[in-house]
Amino acid sequence: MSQVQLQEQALLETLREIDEEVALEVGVKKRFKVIVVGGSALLLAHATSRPATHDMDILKADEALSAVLARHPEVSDQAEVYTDRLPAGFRKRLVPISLSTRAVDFLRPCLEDLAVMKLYSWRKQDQTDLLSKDMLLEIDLNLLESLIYDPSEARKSSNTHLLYDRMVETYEKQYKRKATAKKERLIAAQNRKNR
Amino acid sequence: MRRTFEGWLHRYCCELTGLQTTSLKKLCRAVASKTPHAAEVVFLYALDKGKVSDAVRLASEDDLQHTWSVLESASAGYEGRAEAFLRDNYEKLGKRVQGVLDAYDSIDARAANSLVVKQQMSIAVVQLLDSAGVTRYRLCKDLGLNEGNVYAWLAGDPTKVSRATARKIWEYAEACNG
Repeated sequence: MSQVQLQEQALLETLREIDEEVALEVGVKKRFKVIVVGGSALLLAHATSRPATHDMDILKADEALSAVLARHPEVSDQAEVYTDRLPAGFRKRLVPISLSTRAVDFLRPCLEDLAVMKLYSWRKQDQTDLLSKDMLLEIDLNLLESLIYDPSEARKSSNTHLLYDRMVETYEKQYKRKATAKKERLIAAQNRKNR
Repeated sequence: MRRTFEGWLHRYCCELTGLQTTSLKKLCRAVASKTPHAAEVVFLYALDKGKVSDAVRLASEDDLQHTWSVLESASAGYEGRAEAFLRDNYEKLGKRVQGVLDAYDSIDARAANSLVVKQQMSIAVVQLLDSAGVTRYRLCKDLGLNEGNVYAWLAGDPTKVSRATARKIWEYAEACNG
């Protein structure tokens, strides 16, 4: 098993444990939602082949879960402050994390929403992730573009024009062409391999 | 064997960079080239080794050099004591640096938490078995588990079964109740 697969197993185990603890302490009458973002979400989406750090970012969860989450120091809900970097309609596109659970539904934003978040940050690791083979083979670049320019998506959720404009500039000048070309090359190579 | 922050930090560096090495030079090169997300962990490793100035010198990228220089100033006086630096300055540190200590602390927290959860599970299992009229003996036979350990767990000793086993028993007891 590769390091990334081991990490995926570890992440799923953490989620399973949280679910169990919620079921035991809060009960199973109501189902809760927990949204995983960041590097952990990418890993669970199989869109990265690099090991992620051990911390897991989630968006602010129901107050009833706070006691359980507080016992998992590796899980942080500080990512809530970055929701202005997720396109406004990201909740409509949430993808369930496949895990059989009792009390909690674990979800993650779709890859294109996560990519917008990364275009905002555009640190070295974000560039590596966004241009990685795993990401490019999975991502829908047309959907990404529409999320960036659609007035009801990234533009709507952004708190400041300055940050939004900078993200668009990053996309146009540093990502779009490079990603499209690399994706075409990867698909061509894959087709050649399949033939 | 006792776990130390130093040993754990080194393993974490290796895991994130994909290298099996103690060479700071190689780790820094990896951070600069293909594993930038390991920057904080490698910095702390350098701090623990008392080689922060070497790490800053080895940081080939401007951004990395800047980030590490800021951390270098913040960690002055903590050479060889990365864990103390993190604990003493936790609130003042960035989220990614805090995350390193959180990951380390989560190991002990998880073990302590598991004991409590396994006790809660045993209470739930006893109730479920009783309501389904299933004996402890039947449970052990069906799941192929050691009777002594399961009996001790159900009597309140959480150390006798692993969390995975407790989960398996809980699921079995739930299934018995339809």
